[in-house]
Amino acid sequence: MEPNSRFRANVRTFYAWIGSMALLGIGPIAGEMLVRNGSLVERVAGVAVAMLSWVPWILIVIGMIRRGDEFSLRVHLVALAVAFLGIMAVLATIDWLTRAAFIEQPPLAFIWPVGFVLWFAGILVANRHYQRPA
Amino acid sequence: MNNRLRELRAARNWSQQELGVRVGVSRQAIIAIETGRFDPSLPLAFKLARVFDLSIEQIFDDDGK
Repeated sequence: MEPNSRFRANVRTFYAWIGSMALLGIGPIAGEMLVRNGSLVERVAGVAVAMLSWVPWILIVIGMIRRGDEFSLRVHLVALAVAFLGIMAVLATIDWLTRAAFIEQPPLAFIWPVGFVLWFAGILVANRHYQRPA
Repeated sequence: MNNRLRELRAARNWSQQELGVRVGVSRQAIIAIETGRFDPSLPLAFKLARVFDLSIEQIFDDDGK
């Protein structure tokens, strides 16, 4: 791909990503409103709206990762491994703290921000590792 | 894996960005290869060899490993 067309593709992806983030913000709010209304149809619609709002973001992130070069794919592989193992460790810790009655069971939604933070930390750590002189 | 990428690039006065564009990877990828921490795939090694007009063995050295 030529640098100019690559730049244009990156700009398009950026706007699509912003749009998907907006949808990701609106989806759960709309879903919560529908779920709280109570009827079966509304609750089903609420779950569907909240879950489907993730789909564009997931597809865009997959596309962004796939378009990267082999180094970028390696960095994402390391970052996702760090995020996965980190989430497992956090879940196990919270599970045992809950079982031992040290804390209340937190809402499952906390996994998402923890996952994002670990993923970005993984990207930074992997980038740093590979670009440091051997 | 050791390589002569930095030396070859400097001899041609190419920046890491410029070499990256020539072989279709990011500047970060070139930095990582130059540090020796990231080994390129065979297709990328061939591209690098082609832009320097050398063989892969003349650029990369695995120290007999």
